[in-house]
Amino acid sequence: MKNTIKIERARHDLTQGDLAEKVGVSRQTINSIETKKYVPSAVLALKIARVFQLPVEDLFELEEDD
Amino acid sequence: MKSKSTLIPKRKMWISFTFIFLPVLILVFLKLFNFNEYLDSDKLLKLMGSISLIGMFLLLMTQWTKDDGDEMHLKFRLIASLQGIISAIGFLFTMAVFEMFGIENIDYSGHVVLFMIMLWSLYSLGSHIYKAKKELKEDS
Repeated sequence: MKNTIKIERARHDLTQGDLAEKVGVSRQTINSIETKKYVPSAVLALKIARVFQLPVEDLFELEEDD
Repeated sequence: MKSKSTLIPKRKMWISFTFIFLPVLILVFLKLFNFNEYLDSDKLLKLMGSISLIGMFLLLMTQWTKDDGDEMHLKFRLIASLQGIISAIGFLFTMAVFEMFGIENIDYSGHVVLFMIMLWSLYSLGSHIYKAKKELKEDS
């Protein structure tokens, strides 16, 4: 699953740690989501989308193999 | 979906290690002073093995790093547990085949199988956490 978290983070001037703190997960988890090694739960995806005030589908996009 | 509160803090990791290694020390002590002559060694071994298994389970439920405890780590635990079960099934299947063809006849108990599940689960969880930590260092 593709995501634009890194871009949105840069736009909002947030570090991985800042975002992690806002959504209540570890920095490791944010890093793994950004590098597509971990697919977040619906709850976490919605929390991240809320931080950036975007609909979740603008932040996450399904890929061919999903 | 935080599970940090259900995990044992790292500073209390000594409890898990005590549960794991104390039975071994007790067995060595009993052997050294020949107390095992008065006790049923099979029953004693099972009891000590069970205590060690409790320790291994506590270790699996320990917060290994400060990041441990969120949903990604919960998934790591789930994968580790499943891998442990799969390894035990593989072990039992292999042993059954070996016994069928008379290659090997190892007497294994439920404790051995559970020990294997726990050992594999701990190894798997440890390697997942280590890998995640390493990837984070490489990216930062």
